[in-house]
Amino acid sequence: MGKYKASLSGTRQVFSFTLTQMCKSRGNLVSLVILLVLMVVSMPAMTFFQQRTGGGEETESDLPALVNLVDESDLSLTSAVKLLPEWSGVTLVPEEEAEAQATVTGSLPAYTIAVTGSASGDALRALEESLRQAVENLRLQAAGLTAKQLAILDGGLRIHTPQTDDAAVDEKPIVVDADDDMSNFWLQYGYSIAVMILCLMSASYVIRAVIEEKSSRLVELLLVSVEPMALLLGKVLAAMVYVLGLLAVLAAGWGISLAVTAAIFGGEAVTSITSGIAGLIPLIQEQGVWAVAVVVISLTLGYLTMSLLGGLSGASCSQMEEMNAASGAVMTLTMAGYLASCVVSALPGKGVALLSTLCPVLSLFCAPVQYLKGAVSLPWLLLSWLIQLVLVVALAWLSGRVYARLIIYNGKRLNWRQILTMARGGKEGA
Amino acid sequence: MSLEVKDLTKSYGGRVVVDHLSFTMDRPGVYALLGTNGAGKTTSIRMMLGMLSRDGGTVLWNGAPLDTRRCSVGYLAEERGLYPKYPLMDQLLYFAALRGVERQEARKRIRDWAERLELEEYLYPASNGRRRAKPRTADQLSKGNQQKIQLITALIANPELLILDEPLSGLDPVNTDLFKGIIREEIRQGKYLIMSSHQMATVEEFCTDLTILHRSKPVLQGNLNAIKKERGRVNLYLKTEGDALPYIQARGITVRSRKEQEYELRITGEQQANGLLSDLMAAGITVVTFDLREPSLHEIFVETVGGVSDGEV
Repeated sequence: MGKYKASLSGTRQVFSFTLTQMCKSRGNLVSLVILLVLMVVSMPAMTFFQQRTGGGEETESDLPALVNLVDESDLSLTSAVKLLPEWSGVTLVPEEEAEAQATVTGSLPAYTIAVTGSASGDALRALEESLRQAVENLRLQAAGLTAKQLAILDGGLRIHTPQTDDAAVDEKPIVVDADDDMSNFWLQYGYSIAVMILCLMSASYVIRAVIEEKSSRLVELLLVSVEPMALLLGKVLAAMVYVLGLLAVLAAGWGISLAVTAAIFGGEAVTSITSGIAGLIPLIQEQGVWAVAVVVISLTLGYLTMSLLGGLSGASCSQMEEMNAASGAVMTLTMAGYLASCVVSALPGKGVALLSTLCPVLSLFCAPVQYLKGAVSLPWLLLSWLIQLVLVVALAWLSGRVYARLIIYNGKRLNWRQILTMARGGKEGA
Repeated sequence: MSLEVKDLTKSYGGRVVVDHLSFTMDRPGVYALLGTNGAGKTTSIRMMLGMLSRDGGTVLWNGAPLDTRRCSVGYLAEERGLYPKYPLMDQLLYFAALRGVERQEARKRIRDWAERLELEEYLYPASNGRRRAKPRTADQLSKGNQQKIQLITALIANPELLILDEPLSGLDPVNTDLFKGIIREEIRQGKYLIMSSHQMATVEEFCTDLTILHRSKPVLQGNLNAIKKERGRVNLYLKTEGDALPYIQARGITVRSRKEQEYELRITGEQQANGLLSDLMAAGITVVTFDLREPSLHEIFVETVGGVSDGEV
């Protein structure tokens, strides 16, 4: 135990120095400011251009003035639509006088909306969209489900457009599919992107720091005072804090952006923007701090896995020119995990959920999402974390061993086979 | 205090690079580790400092295994470097922190060394009017000034054992004298220094004991004065006011160099030198300089390694 403790002595100083230099780096500061400005400006700008091009929400004038609404569903649609603000200029009339005929059929859980008529294509599409929203709202009300279930159902929408004949281009029946879980998809997609950014950025920082130190030929001076493992760990932790801090700053920037958008364009504009992540809110409301803890623990494990791999890869290089080659393995694994997680989110079944929760690398992207959406239980999540922790410890051991042997190596970049041979106690690189 | 190196051995893929190196430093001073390129000096130093694993051998400092993280050791590596883009002051404070020097004390020591090594303008750049001065980075310094910064990193913790690998290489004469002054001061303070260098004159100036490594093996070890005494006074520097060459040749003495009436001769011993002096006096040739000397370290080194570098083997 004392030996391991001694091998980590100096980690605090390495961490502190590396983090300070990362924060002081002009390149990093410029990148941060650019990202922050983009983040703050993006939403108000997006909302502004949407409103100018009319791509925003439908207005009263988009709907046809005379509509024949046929409600053959189990919903009280006719009375409900009259209460909607965009229907205030619409008159319900018999079929022969109507500019548009809208028929709604079906019962829980699926409905079909068919819209035809002589009104413009835009007006018919607006009517169709408006009805879709009305059906959706009524369906949710009728279901009487919990906030989480409502959120899941809110995302479960698929538009199907059969072409019956060449003339009937505006006939677009809508099928509302309650089993289609778009909320889960967006949740997985968003989380996977966060993990991907975290892994790629942090591994890149670690690889750069390791190679920079080696190529500047000052490792010998450092090794008099500190063990290789502490040198590596200090960098890994500093990069983690830096990247997590960066994400926090960007999240704050996003918050500012929302506030600016709300101040300029009103609260409705913000609601429309945040509807994409609305599925997360019930989860956080339901799970509270635990949901945040699950995400933070999972992100930390994911970060440690990829950054240690980055450190291992960086140790085999001697010059900055080799950085891209060193990043290859981390990038490949991260991208593979990300793509697989996107596929997994679209596949149903308990087996897939378990596999994606336990499989190393894939679990970095999927385990917390599978747990938070209720596909796997807590013991499976804990098992997943245990597997990831074992992987992190193994990688730390391997990295420390290889890093110690290669730290004063100066020559051609070693391949993975040579690195593993070295880790097993093969020839020393120096 | 003492430093004891016993049977230090290292091989790479069946090739022995350090073969049973042993030496002891039981008093302060400078111990020279000499050798041709590739003889194993730097590898030996790295093993002593624990950067490289040893195949065999021990390194004891005051009777206990040398642990550079706990003992007060300063090291100036042959392959020198600094973070090129980080502020110099930050780097010095970092090295001081790693050596356990408190930040306040480190700042004081850095200030002292900056004055001594004439580095103030780089470590404390003057502000330009109202604008705060931009910290200097290593890539803005000359090689000599970078070397001064590295020397500070080695000395910042005021180490008891100082290992200097080629400390004067690449320095101009002014900075060489500056570094030599610092080395002398460290010796005066009772420090233990291990020095590796190819500049024999410099090593000779400081070292009391030495090891010459050749083809990975220690081929000559001991006290420098004793080694010289053992070899005797074999160099004769002669200056005359007449042609002394016929008398030199008559005695079978080797002429190593000649410039007008100045000769550098290699003799077999004092008897031969005295014989030559008698001949010159008898011939009425005025002798201006007659200086009998022991061999220089350079000569001892070349003679020991047989004029063949390890790199050429």
